[in-house]
Amino acid sequence: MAVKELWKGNEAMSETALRAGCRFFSGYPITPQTPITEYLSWRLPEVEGVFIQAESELSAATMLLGASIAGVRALTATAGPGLSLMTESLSCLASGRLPAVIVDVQRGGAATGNLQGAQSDYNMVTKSLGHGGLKGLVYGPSTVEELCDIIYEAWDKAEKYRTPVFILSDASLGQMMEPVDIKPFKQLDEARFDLPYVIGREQSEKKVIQDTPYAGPYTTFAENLDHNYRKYNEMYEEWKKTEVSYENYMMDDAEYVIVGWGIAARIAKSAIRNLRKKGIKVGMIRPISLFPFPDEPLNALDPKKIKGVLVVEMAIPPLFYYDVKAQIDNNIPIHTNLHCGGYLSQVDEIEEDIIKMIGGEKNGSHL
Amino acid sequence: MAKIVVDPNFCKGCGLCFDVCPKNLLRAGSQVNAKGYYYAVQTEEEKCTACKLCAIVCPDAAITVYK
Amino acid sequence: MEVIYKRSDALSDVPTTFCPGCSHGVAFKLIAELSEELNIVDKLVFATPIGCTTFSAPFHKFSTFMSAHGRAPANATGFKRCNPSRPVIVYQGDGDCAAIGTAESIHAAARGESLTVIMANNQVYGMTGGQMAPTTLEGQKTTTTPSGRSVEACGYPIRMAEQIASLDAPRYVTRQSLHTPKHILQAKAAIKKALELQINEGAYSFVELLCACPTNYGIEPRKIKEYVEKNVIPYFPLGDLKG
Repeated sequence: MAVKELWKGNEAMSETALRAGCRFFSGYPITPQTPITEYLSWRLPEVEGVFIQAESELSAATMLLGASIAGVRALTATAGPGLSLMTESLSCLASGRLPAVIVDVQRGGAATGNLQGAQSDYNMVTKSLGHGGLKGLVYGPSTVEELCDIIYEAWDKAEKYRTPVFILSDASLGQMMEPVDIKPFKQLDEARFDLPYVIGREQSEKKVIQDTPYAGPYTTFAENLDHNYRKYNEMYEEWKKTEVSYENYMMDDAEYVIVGWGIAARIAKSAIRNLRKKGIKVGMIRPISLFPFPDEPLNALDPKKIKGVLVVEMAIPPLFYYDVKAQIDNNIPIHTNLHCGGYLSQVDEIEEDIIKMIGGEKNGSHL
Repeated sequence: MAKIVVDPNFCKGCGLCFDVCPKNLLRAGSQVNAKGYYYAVQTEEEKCTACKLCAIVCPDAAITVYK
Repeated sequence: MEVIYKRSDALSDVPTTFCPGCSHGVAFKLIAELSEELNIVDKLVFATPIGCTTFSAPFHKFSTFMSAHGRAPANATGFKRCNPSRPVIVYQGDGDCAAIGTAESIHAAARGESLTVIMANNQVYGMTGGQMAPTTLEGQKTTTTPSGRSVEACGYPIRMAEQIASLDAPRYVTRQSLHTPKHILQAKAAIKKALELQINEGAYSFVELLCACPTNYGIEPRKIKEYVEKNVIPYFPLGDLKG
């Protein structure tokens, strides 16, 4: 009989990363990511991987580029203030089409902020990876198991599409302890060292790896960038067909719909179960992929059946809310339940907000 | 017997070789290359000692030395 | 007659886009020659900076990866740790190494990464048109110090080789120049020593090369020798600082 083990989110995710083939980590300690850095500092050498505590997140993210160019599955992790420093290299990863996995264990606030969980880095990774407007795959798990499932597949996806992959975790998910089935070690193909973006181990033909796609069928940089970024965008559009994932929770007969992701959605599930006990037909659409965003299930909400939507998010000003709003029929009222700065969503407040919605009260909590 | 040959494709007429030649044999020629530079030429080839100083100083690796 | 010196086969057929007289051309020539002498033409990897050498990959036969400004030592660290069998030259300008990339430069050195870092110190930001660099000399006119660098406003130029030499891990730290054939040959020997230390012992070395940017000094190339002797070497002394 398979026995699940109790693991903390940060560490379960780190161990799963190794099982997925990750053999390089560069990072800088930052709450609430630090246990990842500490765990990998001894665990990576055990599997003959490379661990580097870099001098800053700026450097840590840059080291990912080199590791990726060397053909190695590379990981970094940080929190908001570190993510800001990483944005330059995120732009390089996306523009240079280099695979890597980046985990943001979100914490409250802008600037130095606070240490508890939040969801306020959402725009930073879904809208533009640093300057230039490029994208990566972005996921928002809501359990430790889901966090592990996602990272286990992350490098396969990163290499398939030659893209950075982001996982938006948060302080709660990182530190909570849950039962997990840690996955087995993947076998990696040696042919990876011949990949087009890799400068291989043995003597090889000259390869020039650039962080901008200057090369192309035309003579000027402008024409080639225009041509190449168009192709990147085609890939992003393709993801909308192949890479969307979300969960429908108690949606079959739902009249009120909560939309949330990550830890906020997890908390909202408790509220939904409580409301259901009172006979209120409430369900949830929970995006798991944040880029590409699950437009379809939200578009499909029928104003004749759905009486209201409540977006539960841990970010003020709201971020995810606008992506949801853009997909919902105008005739469906949308309310918000927002907290930020390390103040987690609260089960009783979510229940109250649904009850207020049923009672016809207006909701302007984000204005 | 010695001489040097300047490859007009690479020479930018910078003149660094003119001043290092101990026999003063190098100067800008009268022809321009495709980039519009008056590339360097060696005069009085018979005085060349193949000391290689011109080739060493050349930033464009434009010089071949024969002995 | 036979050929006793020719253009290195590790250089390509593409004429460089460096200005006439630019020292980068000399440095690249030396690296190309050394790659043949050390039999690493197929293995050597170039980590390029942001500067006049950003688009230098077409000039030689080495695999190259580019980095954002100042980041080459960090990028190269990730690469080399994962691919230790390939010798890597991190080629940077003065701004890349000692301004925007100071932290990356110091820490790659402090960690003793198995890299050869070459800092082309020409006391100016050439590619962007001649602005002040961290190594611009007091009184030197640049486009951002049009009246000459004032130490009250801008502080003193940084001697990066000395900074690196103060760390324990770097094995060989030197400052060389490219302004005369004799100095060029000494610089070549220094770069060779640095590369051999990387290849044979996995050691970190730092070679600061005094380069000239005649375009932004506002002089013709034939005045470089006098300029460097009179202005640059007094502030940036030549020689081995460590190793």
